[in-house]
Amino acid sequence: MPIIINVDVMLAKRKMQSKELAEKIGITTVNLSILKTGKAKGIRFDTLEAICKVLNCQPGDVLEYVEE
Amino acid sequence: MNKVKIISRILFYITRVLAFFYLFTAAYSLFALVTGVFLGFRENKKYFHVMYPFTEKPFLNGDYNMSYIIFDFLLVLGLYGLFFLLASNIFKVFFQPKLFTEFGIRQLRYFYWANLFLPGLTIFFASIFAEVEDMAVILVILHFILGIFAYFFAAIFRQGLQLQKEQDLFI
Repeated sequence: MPIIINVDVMLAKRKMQSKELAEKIGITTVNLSILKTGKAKGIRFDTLEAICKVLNCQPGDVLEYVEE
Repeated sequence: MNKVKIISRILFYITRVLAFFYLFTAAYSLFALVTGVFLGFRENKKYFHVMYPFTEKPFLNGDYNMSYIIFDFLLVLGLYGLFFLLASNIFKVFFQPKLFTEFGIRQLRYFYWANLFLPGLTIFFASIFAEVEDMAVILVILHFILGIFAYFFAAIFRQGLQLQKEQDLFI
């Protein structure tokens, strides 16, 4: 999929662990892993909103379009 | 959905109890007929009675000949035991946390295969050895119709499971 999820990059920048992020945004670590590995079919606005809020970033920092 | 869960749970327990009753009765009757224990006869062994355990009180009656015992008695009890067991598994599907599951599809598959083919095959073999009553043919048709409905239910569940899997990938 040409849409890349850059949650890992943002997590590294914020020095936060995946488990902590999952707990703060209210999803399971399994689902966060699905999101990070690009297996997800889509991301809900409220999940994106929660990620941006916790990581203090913009949606563009988390999502990236890469031409295949 | 809550109402469905309550009703299906009640039906699950009813059908499960019926299944065990039929299967136990089939096993008990087989034991009585093979061993002669708790078994009585009437009119010079023309008819038999399976007695309530440790009593002389008749529980089940029938004609004392092999074709009747196998096709009209033991097989009927056993197959209805199986029918209620499979039906109870279908009801179990409807009070699980997730409705569309592989388990549900598998139970529906067992149910429709059993209803589509088992009654017909049984009647076919029974007709070779014994006279088949009209009522039995009507029951075969009713089970076949039930099997067709279950087949379409299974198709709906398959589609539902696929949609649910996709939905689960929306985080």
